[in-house]
Amino acid sequence: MKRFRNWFFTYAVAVIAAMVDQVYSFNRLELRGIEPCALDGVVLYSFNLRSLVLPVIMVYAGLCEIKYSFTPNVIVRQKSRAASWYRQVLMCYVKCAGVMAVLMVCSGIVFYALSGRYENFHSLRSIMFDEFQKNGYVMPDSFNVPVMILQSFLINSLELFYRVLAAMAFYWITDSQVFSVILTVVMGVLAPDRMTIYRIGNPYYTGYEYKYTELYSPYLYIKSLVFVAIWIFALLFIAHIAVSRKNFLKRYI
Amino acid sequence: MYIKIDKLTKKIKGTTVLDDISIEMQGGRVYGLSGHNGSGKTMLMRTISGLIVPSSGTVDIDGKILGKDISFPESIGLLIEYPAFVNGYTGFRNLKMIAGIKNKIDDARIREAIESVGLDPDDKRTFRKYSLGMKQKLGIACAIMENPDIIILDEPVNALDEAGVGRVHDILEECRQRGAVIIIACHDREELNLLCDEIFKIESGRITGHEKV
Repeated sequence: MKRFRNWFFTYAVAVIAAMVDQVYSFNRLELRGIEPCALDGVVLYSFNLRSLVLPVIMVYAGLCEIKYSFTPNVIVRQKSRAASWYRQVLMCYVKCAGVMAVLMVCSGIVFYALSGRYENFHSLRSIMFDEFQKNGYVMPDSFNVPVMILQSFLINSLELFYRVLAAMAFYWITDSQVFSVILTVVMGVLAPDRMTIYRIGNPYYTGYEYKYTELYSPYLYIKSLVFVAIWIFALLFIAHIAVSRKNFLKRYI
Repeated sequence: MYIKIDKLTKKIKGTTVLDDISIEMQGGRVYGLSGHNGSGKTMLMRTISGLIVPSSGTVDIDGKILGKDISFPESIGLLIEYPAFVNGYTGFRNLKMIAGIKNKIDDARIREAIESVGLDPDDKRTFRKYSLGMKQKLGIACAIMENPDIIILDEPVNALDEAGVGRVHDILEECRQRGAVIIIACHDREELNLLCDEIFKIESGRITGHEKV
């Protein structure tokens, strides 16, 4: 029940925060003279919460579970420390992917409810048209929408995952729940991601101009994916060294 | 079944908590650890159960070196310091969840283990509402439910009433007869004398005495 409550709380907060945030995002776009559509909500604006708000919620819920799995009776029944760590890593990605999927659906619903449009590729006031014009790309005749959604889902869930993974690794290494949550906030503010370009004094400068172009161009997409993968592998490498010699000394629960 | 500890040393942040410990334990016997608070009894138990990685030395369990061949003993039940369970679950549900990790026993065996310590498996109260003694009993039930080859109990009779202490004695006798290695840490010397076949005295992380009861 406690586990269910933790994850229900995580998803409920994420959904409510997403709904409220998307209404503001939609209004801001309209004020700039842009006509958003449901696809913009799913592909672009579902990411809004994953830098700061969502990782903190997920880390809190995740750490509650890790604490339980660190109790002596649970630990000694595992095959090894590494097996326990990698199972938690896998579960962490599954949960991040789940939250991201929920956010994408919610964002799409909000954007569709407010605009009444599924897509507006060829409108002169669409985000996509505006972006392709600025980047000097020729607007293609058609798009593979399901592939675009999958691409967006993959990279967004991985960007959420590496923030939560950093906190998990930190908790495994230090046993400190407070510092793990603080680390997540720091990661949310400082760690660069593809949509938020870090600028000194203005960490939330969202001047990324390749949102749709990236999904259209394999080169740009793979570049972003490799960047996220480097973060994840670096964290896994550091954690692997620490995990194999971890001492379970604290009273966790 | 045997446990052979050879020149075991553990340092934590520069402090030596276990210092050059070498002991051997055989199946079907009960071993006691006596010593003051902070003498290293619990640390030694944690090391044998694999929760702590030794700085040097080895723990050999039935021919397998802990930390090299295996990360944790393959068949172990333990109660160290404090029975740690999920507060919002009943006693039965807590044990069922832990038993689900290895999936070696069925619900009937879990119920039997809970009954053997004097608790009711159908008790709807959550662990949060258990008294200290009931929590301790559930911890013991968890340690013995899978009939492990190694049983480690830290202060097992803490907070137990007379009947509870009697039950623990009976349970440990059963486990001894089926050939398990039983390791108990206790402050009460009389209790150790009653329960154990051999007693190791620990002071400042070193074994300073060994007697057969």
